[in-house]
Amino acid sequence: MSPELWWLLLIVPLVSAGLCTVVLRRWPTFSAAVSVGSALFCFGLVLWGIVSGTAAPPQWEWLKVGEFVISLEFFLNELSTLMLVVVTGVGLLVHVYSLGYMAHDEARSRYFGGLSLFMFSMTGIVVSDNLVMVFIFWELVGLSSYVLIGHWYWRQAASAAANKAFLMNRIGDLGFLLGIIVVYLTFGTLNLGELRELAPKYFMAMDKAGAAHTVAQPALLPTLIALGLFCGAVGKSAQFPLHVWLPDAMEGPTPVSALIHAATMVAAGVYLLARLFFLISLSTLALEIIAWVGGITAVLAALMAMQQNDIKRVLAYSTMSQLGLMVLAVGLSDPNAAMFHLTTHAFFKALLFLAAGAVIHALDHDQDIWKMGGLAKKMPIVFGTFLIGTLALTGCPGLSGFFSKDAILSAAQVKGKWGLFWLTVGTSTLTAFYMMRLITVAFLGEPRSEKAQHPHSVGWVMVLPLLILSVPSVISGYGEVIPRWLAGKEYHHHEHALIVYAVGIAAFFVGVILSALLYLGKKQDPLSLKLLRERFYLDEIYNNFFVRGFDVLGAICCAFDRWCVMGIGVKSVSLSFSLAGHLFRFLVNGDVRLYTFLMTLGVVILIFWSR
Amino acid sequence: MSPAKIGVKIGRGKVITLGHYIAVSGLLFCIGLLGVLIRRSVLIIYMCLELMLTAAALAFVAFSRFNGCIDGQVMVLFIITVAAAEVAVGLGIIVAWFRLQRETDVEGMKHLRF
Repeated sequence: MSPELWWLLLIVPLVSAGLCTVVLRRWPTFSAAVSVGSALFCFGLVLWGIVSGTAAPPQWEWLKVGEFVISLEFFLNELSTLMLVVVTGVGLLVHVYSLGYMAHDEARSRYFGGLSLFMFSMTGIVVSDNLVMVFIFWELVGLSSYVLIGHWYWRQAASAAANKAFLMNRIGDLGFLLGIIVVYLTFGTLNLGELRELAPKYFMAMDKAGAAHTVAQPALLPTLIALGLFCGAVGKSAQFPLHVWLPDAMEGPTPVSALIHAATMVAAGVYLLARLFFLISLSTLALEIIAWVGGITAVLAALMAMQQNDIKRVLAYSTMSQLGLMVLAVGLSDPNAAMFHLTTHAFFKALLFLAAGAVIHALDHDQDIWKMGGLAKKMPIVFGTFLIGTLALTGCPGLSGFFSKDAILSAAQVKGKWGLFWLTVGTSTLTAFYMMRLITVAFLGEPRSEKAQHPHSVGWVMVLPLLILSVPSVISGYGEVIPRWLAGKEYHHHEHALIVYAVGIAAFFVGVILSALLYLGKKQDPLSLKLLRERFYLDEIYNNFFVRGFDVLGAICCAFDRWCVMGIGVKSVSLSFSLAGHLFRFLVNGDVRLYTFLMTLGVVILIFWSR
Repeated sequence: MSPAKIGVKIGRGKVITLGHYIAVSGLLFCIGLLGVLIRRSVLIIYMCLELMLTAAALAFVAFSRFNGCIDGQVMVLFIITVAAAEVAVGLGIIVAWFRLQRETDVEGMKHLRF
């Protein structure tokens, strides 16, 4: 394959997005076909490119200001090819699934256009080798996420959720942008390839010269850079202070939740941390902070998931919690473990969301798990795939999640960070608990509503992606294929300690058994933890402090604008002209002789004045 | 300065200088201006306007004569031409106005303001 063909990976989805939203707007069937076709093409191209071992095409200069060049490059290594496979593979399945899920939607063209735009921007993030391009694509995925969350924009909750997602991401992106600026000021380049060469040398030189130059603060600068770049990941990957948008984003169509808010876009933060690990790892302090933010997010989200009653929200909190684990793994300086978990998570979480979507579709968009029950008998295939996803997520021995979670546990154990180790164990236990609660309540027992007794049938376009996704959900952990691929030649196998296996398996069984004891055969929730159900009141706190604060600030600015700028500045000028006009209009009375007299007077005054 | 530049001799010790010409011109101009300002009949105002033009023309000619330069006289030819054209247009309007209103008082023209 010719290297130039790689560009098609970006061009085809972009063209498809344009076609769907502009040309084929009124022919939704055609735009669906175009969009699915482009996704299929991308997946095929990625596979072909990897199998044939095609090198990256030469860079393309996009913008040049003096010495500063921003070029569009195509970065290919083990990390980015793995991510490409995940993005295009899961993307393709979600496209196919959408054919069934969105079959009766009027605005399918807009929807598929949004999906194609997302595919374009996500592959853009994965392959760009320049921080500015990464940032541009970073914003573009934010945009497509906004468009797709707000797809049913006539629902108040959906448009509010879209805004919330966009604004929360803005906060993180501001930090990201500041980080990029500091990187540029420090190194004078934004090219990741050059940075990888420069960064370690730069700070070593600083260290050596540290005695001579006391102004140099080698510890501060890398920490600033790392935390700035981490800010972007905090926003996009829904980490602790900025996490509140992710559960609300579930207002979007379920395939969107599967693709964007579970498998790929939210994982972009983790991917970014793994890509920029050579920069972040220069500051041990930043790594420590990253690890703890991830750990806290993982536990908090798992706690919140315990008391949610909306099937998609449980999965959303679970996503947040797993992302926390990945971030924690990066903080433990083991980005490969993070990427391993990202990959397996992408498969089984997309599977879970799509299966949940099938349930929601079958029950006429009812998402309350307490109104379900007994679905295992009515929808055996969906139940089977959902169970596989659940077991993979909860770390059941033998499925992919078990291996990737063990990799993270092992990283913590090897580093001797026992606090983080037990945080991970706690998260795993809670994960097993709430996922088993979901299964027990929604699929087992007796049907608890009319709809649950007679679910619609689910078409094969929706079942097929579930079946396909179950395969990697089970096998992608085996043989350490993914860690081996990521580490390349540096890979060396090491046995995980016995405690890692023991604790991992114990966490799974404790969670499952506790949950089964509590929830089997129950008609309503036996646990009632208001604090968890209300999500630690974080939304309320944000509303009262930040939203109200900005409202007050806005009111002050508005008053200043209205009374000072408008009142004194603009109005006074217009008023003085208006007054002058009212005065002088008495002179214009139509008497020609008066005009002549005034003119003469004027001339005389001018003559005498000019002498 | 040659005698021609100082003035025109009209007898023993009697010379018409540039000052005399300018005085006449100024007088004419002031009479014209006064007429424009105080008379009510449009026709009279028009004649007064012509008087002012004539005053200017006289000043031009006088300056031209005393500077020994022909520019001023050329200018006067232009003034006469333009004044003739102006009279043609202006008188036409006045006659039309008179036919319409049976009077030529400027006070009656006030409602032309809008």
